[in-house]
Amino acid sequence: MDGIPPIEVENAKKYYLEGWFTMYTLILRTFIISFIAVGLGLSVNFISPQGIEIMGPIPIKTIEGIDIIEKDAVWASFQAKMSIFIDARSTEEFSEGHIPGATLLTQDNFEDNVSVLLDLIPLDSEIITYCSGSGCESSLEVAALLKEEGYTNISVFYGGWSLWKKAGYPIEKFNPIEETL
Amino acid sequence: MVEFFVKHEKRIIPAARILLGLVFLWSSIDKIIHPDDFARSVANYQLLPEVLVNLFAVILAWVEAICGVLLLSGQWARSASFIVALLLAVFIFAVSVSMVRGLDINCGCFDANAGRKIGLKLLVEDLVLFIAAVFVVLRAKDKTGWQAIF
Repeated sequence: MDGIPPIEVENAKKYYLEGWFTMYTLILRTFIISFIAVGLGLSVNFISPQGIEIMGPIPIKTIEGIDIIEKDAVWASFQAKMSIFIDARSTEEFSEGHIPGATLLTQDNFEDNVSVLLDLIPLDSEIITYCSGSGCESSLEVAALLKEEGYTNISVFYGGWSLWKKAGYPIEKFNPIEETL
Repeated sequence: MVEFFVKHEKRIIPAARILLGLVFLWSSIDKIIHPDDFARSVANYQLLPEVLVNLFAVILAWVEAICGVLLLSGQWARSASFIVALLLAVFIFAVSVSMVRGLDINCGCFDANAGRKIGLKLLVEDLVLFIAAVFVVLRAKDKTGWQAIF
């Protein structure tokens, strides 16, 4: 320390202390803001009617008049041959494999193909729509379109193709639209 | 370039701060009103375990809202900007990973439900905001009080 004037040592100390102080307050305040967000988020979610289950399953999107159907019930109606299955995925995915007997009907080809469907399938038929399963929403969107056409008994199988395949249920592969619609 | 920034720092910092504040406050509103939609958007990225998705969605919306308000009002701007920079880094990571994985999903950025897809444009926007946030962190100070607003 001999050669360095004391004033410079003081300045350096001050500089480092200030730097440390700033870093420290920055992190502290980051935590404070986060804690407030956690508190507000959880309490508003608790009070709000829109609130969701914090540790629960990811909320499923629903539309009034369209049911949600679980895997076992889907399997039961598949075996009973009671339902019309609508596959709302892409043509490529459909041709790689789908629920046996399913009809390909996507949002994109809906307009073109729905008239055939209306001719063949009565409005009160039990219809089950599905898509790939991992957070896809096209099954619900196609279900909504079908409801607009006048179908009254529509269910969405949210587990979709991935759950069907995982369960080891039978699958069908062949090439697309003309053969199904 | 650097000279430009140093010269106009007094104007650039508040501009960056207010831009970030507006973007984050605006984006948080729909997430707070429709937590279920936002939780689904978060789930679509397939990065978090399912049990954490709802918790993450609820808290993230409020972190964005509080940071937005702090940045707009100039209170604790540096700390709020620090959080915003961290969030943007997470968003950039999530969007890049999803693009590499070929996920065709909605970004869930502003309107949790509406169909804005992830893509390069979104990535660039996030990057610009990230740079703005880092700039505020490096050059602004945490202030409180009325004078800090402008």
